[in-house]
Amino acid sequence: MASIELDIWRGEWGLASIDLECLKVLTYMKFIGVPVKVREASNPFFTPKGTLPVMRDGRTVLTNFEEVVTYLKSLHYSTDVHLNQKQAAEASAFTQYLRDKLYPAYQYAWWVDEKNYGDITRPAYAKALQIPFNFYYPSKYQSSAKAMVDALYGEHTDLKEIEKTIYNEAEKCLKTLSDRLGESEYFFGNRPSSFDATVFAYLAPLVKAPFPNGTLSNHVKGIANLSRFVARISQKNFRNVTDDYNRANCQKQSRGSQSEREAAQFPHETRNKILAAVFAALAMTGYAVANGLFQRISGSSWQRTLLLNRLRIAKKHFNRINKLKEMKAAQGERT
Amino acid sequence: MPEVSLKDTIITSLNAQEPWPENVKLFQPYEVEQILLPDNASCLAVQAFLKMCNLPFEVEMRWNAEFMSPSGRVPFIKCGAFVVSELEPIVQFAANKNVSLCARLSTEERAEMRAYMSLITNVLVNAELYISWVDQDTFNAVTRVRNSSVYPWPLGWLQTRSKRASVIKRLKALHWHDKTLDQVLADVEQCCNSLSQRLGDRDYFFGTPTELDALVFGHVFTIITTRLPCRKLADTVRRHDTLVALAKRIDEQYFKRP
Repeated sequence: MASIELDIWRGEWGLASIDLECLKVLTYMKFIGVPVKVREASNPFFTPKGTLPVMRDGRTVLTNFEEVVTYLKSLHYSTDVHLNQKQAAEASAFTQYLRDKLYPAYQYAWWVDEKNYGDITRPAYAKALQIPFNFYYPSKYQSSAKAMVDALYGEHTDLKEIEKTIYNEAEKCLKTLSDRLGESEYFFGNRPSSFDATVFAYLAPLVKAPFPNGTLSNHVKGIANLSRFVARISQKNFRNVTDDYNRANCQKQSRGSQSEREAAQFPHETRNKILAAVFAALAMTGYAVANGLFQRISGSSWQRTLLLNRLRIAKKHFNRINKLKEMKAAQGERT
Repeated sequence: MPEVSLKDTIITSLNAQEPWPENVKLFQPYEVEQILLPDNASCLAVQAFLKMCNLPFEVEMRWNAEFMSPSGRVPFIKCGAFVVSELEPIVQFAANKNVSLCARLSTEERAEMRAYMSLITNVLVNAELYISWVDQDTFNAVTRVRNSSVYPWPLGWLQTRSKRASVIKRLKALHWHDKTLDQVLADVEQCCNSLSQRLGDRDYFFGTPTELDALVFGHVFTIITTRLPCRKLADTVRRHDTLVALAKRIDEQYFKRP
């Protein structure tokens, strides 16, 4: 079997990927332990639908979670075999429930809320993208999220009202999920299923991303069994990612407490000062030249050169006349 | 936000003091010549819910019910000083008056019920909207005629146009607009499968009637009894005998004409 390749958005804040759909697929693949080569894509321009994730296996190219689940099932990789028919029905009902109630809130928190978008979402996606694309894709995704919120909650004119309604619904949904999970390890029995991957993908970014406006993530963090669920799955399946992040975080913190941080910043500071000075000098000179401040000096020097030249020529003439006079005098003496 | 929640609690407590009034009216569009498939389904679901609760109400048909409703969607009920629209808020409203069908369910069962209700509003409602407004045959033969029937000539055309645009915007936002009819039908098939799996051979989903039964009845009954040029949706639903039997049972029990 050709090896499966998966292109995803890069991770941040101890997440394997910052994107909901990528995280779903990735978590599911971790659950079943299928060998997969993960690549962090820097540009979704050449993907079939202009979105990530993209899964490639030979000639098969898939772009969404349901297709991936079906495809892997056809390769006899599946986590849902231990579900009976009733549980499978329940899982599909709950998936739609999340899509109906939690997805609008998720999109609102990530894209529509201006503060979160400016501080978190846009920088995160811009970091993941290459240079001309990072000006285009974040705002494209934002406008599609805004269109969705507008289409679903268009009857409220005020954005505050919309925010309140969406977050209320999401809170109810999270409460329901927490009731359903109870104290068990996974949603259906003691083995993970595709539904667990979906729930994890919704909740993990909300728990881990440092939102400045964290109404929704505070709801998630406030529910003990759901945050335990997220911590458990990321500990089990994404241990290397979280460990790396924690280590980096620890280093940063230990550095931050001492004056080493200043030392680490020092060369940058000098460099920045020099750059600033050079830039300022260049700008001022340019301004001066543009305004003709140098014209008088350069003009006078030109005139001076002309004057000197004339003087030199005059001197030459003078010398020649003197020479001629001397020769005449010498001839007169001889005769 | 504290002042908003305070307002909510005041409304709730005011509301709870009063019993269910006698002259409750349910507003909906004209059933014979105007109403469309999705609206009809939700109106029927609300009627079934109110009848299951034994709450008296009168159906009042208005051509502009849609524009009278606070949320812009039909049906809505006028109950004393309150105007409440759509099934979920109406269920909430009745629960505030201590009328509830799911009081004896456990929290897990309630969670499950909410999930299945979402499944229906997400899949069946969107499929109905898709069939009525996106499918060309149905739109031309049924939706356009019925929707513009209550307006004078140029207004009907304009109103249909703008309504279609808003429905398509909604479907686009939910990624339903780029599906083909077959994909829509496959989704409906899967949804019906889940529902009939859950129902099994019981009479109702949770033993006794709940709002989930009302919602399923509203949609299934409307889909199988409405004549449309595109019969595939009705055929897909009709293949699930248990759901059809449930719809018939509720129809006979609660809607029997005297």
